[in-house]
Amino acid sequence: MASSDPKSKLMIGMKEYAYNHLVVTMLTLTSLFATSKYSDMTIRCANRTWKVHRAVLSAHSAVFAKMFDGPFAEATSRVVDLEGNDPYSVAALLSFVYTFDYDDSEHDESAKLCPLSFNVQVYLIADKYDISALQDLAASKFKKCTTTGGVSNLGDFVLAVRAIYGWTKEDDTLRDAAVAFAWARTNILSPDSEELVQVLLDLPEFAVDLIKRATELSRRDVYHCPSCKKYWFAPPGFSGTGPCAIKTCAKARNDWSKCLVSLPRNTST
Amino acid sequence: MALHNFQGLNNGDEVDFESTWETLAASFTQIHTKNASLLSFEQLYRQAYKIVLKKKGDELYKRVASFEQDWLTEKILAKLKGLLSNALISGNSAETGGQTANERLAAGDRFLRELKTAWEEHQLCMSMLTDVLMYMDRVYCTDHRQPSIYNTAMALFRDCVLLSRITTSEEQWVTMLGVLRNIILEQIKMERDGDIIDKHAIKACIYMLEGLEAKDTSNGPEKLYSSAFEEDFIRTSHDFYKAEGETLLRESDAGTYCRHTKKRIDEELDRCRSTLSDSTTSKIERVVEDELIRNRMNDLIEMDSGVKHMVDNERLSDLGLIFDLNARVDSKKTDLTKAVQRIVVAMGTAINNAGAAASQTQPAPAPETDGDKAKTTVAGVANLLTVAAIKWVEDVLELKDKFDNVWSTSFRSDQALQTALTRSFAEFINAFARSSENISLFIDDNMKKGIKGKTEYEIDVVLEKAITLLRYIQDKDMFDRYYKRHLTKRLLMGKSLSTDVEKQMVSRMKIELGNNFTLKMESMFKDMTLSEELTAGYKEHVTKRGDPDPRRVDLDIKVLTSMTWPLEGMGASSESDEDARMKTIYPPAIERLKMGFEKYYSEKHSGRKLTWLANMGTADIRATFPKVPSKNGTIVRKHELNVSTYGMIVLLLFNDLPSGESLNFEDVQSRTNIPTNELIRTLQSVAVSPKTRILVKEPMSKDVKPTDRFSFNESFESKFAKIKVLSITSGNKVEGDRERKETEKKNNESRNHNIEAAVVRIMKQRKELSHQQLVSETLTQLASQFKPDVVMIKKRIESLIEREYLDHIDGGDSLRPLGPPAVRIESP
Repeated sequence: MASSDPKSKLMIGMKEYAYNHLVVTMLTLTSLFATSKYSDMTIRCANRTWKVHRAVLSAHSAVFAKMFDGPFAEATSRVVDLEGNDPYSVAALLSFVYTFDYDDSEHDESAKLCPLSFNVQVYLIADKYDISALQDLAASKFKKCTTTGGVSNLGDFVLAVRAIYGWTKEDDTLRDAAVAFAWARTNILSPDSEELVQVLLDLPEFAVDLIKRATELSRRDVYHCPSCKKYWFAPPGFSGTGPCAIKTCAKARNDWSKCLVSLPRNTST
Repeated sequence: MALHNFQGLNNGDEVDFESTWETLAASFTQIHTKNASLLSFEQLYRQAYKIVLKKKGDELYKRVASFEQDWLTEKILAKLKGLLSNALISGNSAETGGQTANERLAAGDRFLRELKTAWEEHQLCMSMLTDVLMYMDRVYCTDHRQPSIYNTAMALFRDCVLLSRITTSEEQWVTMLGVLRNIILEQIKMERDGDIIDKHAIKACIYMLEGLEAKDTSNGPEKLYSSAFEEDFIRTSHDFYKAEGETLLRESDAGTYCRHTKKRIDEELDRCRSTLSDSTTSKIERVVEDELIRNRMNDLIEMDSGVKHMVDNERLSDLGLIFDLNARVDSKKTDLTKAVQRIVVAMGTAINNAGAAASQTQPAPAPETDGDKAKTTVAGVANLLTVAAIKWVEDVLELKDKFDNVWSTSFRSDQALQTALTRSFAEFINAFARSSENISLFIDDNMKKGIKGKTEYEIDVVLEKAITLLRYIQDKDMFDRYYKRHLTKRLLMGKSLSTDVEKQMVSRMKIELGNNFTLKMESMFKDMTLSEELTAGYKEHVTKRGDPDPRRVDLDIKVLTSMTWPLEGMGASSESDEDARMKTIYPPAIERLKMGFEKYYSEKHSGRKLTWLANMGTADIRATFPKVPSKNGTIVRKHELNVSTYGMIVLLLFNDLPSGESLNFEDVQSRTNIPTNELIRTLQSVAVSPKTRILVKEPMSKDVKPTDRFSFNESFESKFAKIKVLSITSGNKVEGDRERKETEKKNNESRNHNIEAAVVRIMKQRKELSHQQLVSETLTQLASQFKPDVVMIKKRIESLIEREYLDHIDGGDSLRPLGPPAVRIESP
């Protein structure tokens, strides 16, 4: 339940008793996963196995649904070998289909990935098995990492960027998030970093996106908030009135024109 | 290193497209040969996923398509071709090359089943391939706007299998699709001819054609079914049913034709459901309707066993079938309506002709030799005419019943046909000059005899029938004239069996034709009631005066309001005008009675003038005839004679005459002043009629001549105590030609009057109207009474202008009433 107020969203058009029951049902599902009760198939990956329920997997993913439905080997063997997948990502996927969430905090295992890259992993496996809700969740967890200082070192970021630009398409949500993060943290973009230079050389698309971002932002107006004393770019379609774009301030003004910074320049927020 | 595990994909782990594809292709072959159960879905999915992720989706897509193309061409098409014989390919059943129809059918079936299997397996395999290639469809096809691999593969089946050419000779070829079409068309033809075919195999192939788009879709998306099959199916069906229609019309009767057509339509609809496509239902229905109904309806109706035959032989269910067929193609049922109208009018005209022929009997009086015989003949002829008149009505009613039955049973109580029937009945009934008179005579007959012993319900039925006929009558005024005349006689002569029923009839007419129509009839009934009261009152008056004269004459008087009763036609001919009647010399006893009543009446209603109509009355006389010897000794013979008033006057003359003396015709006339015609009739009834010969005529003959002599018949004999002396013209009979002309003349006079009244009424109300508008308004106003001749209306308008009631406005066409309208509207 990552959303800030899940109840208010779920409650739309839903009676309270139904909502309560839904919560109980989900808890029951979670316990079924934990105890393997009623499970009717096995998933293998690397050295791990999970006892799961075909009905649950089929409900989330058309790929699993077809896999069990057709005349293929899995339908009779009831064993799926997800070889080649990262077992932690598989675990996250299974966690999601039973609990609608997964844990991206650092793993204890030796082969762990940083949360940033792990979320990219989950994002990709969600795409592979066509579970768009899990993709959304992974993307939002990725953004959270970039905005709440979850990135501790350049190496983690570079790893994630390589993965993102390696396996996603243009205009992907993760690409946007990575570019936004990179731009915001100009310190990361220090030309001194050989690693970064290498990434830009390896991933020209990333370099292009960065430049696009820079030129786009340079066309926008910059405001200086008298309350929080911070600078911010006018969001697209900004009308000159409303709250301060800095979320922690959000002080509303009727007329921001006096706060317009006359000369456009690069400013960090 | 950590990167190594990145979804199993990293830069170092290059996907080898060719080897991956080879694995996939081998698996696809397994799938096509039904060996999929050993394949891991996950593995195949992953391989395709990797290829697409590596941006090789395009290549994969093309390889799959090409794989399917090869498979279809090399395996499927080859197999299907092997099933085709030359005869199947050419689609020409004449070139069967020694094949029997059954062998052909079987070969066709085999082909259809094999094609069905091939198609179904192709679909099944492709759905498995599509599942495995799901990532390609979702990512590559969506991004590059490619049709899903499944749809592409279906189109490949069309292009590689169905549209593949099969060479028949050096320069000729057909497509597999053409062969399929010919086989299906041939099998459908066989089924139409009664063979049993494999509907499921055909249905499956049709289903395939419905699932595929036509290749050349310049006119928007079109299914292969409509372009490659349906058009030909409809065309060949047209030919088939056209030929069948011709044969059927030639070889079957209409009933069989209808049943067959119905069966064919049901068959075709059923065929669309079970063998072809529902989308063809309306089209093939239209074909059968066109070829077997629309184009043949007229022939069907007109054939020897057609509608006329069905009506004549009461083939109600066949007529129903014809109706259903006609209704199916024409909501107005035009053909049937026309035919039925023609038949009704023809049958009606036959009844009219029979009626007219019967009335022609009249002007051929038998050359008489024997007076007695001649007389009965004359009376008989008159009677026969009445019988003919009533028969006409009954025939019309029978015809009406017949068509009512046809209408409700066969024509499903259809509104349009009801209107048509009504119009046809009105047409022939109004074409018959005597219809008004006959209907009135029919009612007259029922009122006098017909309703005797009938229940209330049965009487109701009779009355309703009369009203039904009355509805058809256009010239209601003629009927009114006859009905009043006949009613008068019934009332005055006490011939009605039931006054209640008479009144019922009048109130029915009132409902049907309105208050105006029955106004006078109602006052006739009122007169009758008042007369009864007067008679009783007078009797009491006389008793009170204490005149105990045993020879007193009882008086039963009917006082009639002069304008209400149609007295001019009441046997009084033109010469018996007011004066002649006045002068009738009554015997003293009667004269006293008359004076007495006149006095009594004038005391009650001063200022009213009574005119005595001796020609209308009757009298009961007790007559004593001389004793004659008999077995039981001598007896005094007393008889009660019922005679007309004139008859009484004449007989009383002989009362005072010494035995043995006689009077000649002129004596009788001068002593009674009875008009010549009436006197002749009266003398005929008492001196010529064989059973009521109270007087002896000298010489004995049928005619009464001024020189004849009359004396009391002392030797009169009769078995009955009461003797009714029938007056020759007493009953309501058919009019003679002369009378008829008279009636028509009178009717026209009153029409003229009615037209003028209507014109003046309209002009008073509308102030200004064009000539034409005035004519049409007048027609509308008078429609409930009669259908006036336009010429007649124009003449009346001219006459009104001449008499300065109307004027042309500024010499134009418009008319206006002149001055304060001075027209007094008189009732006729």
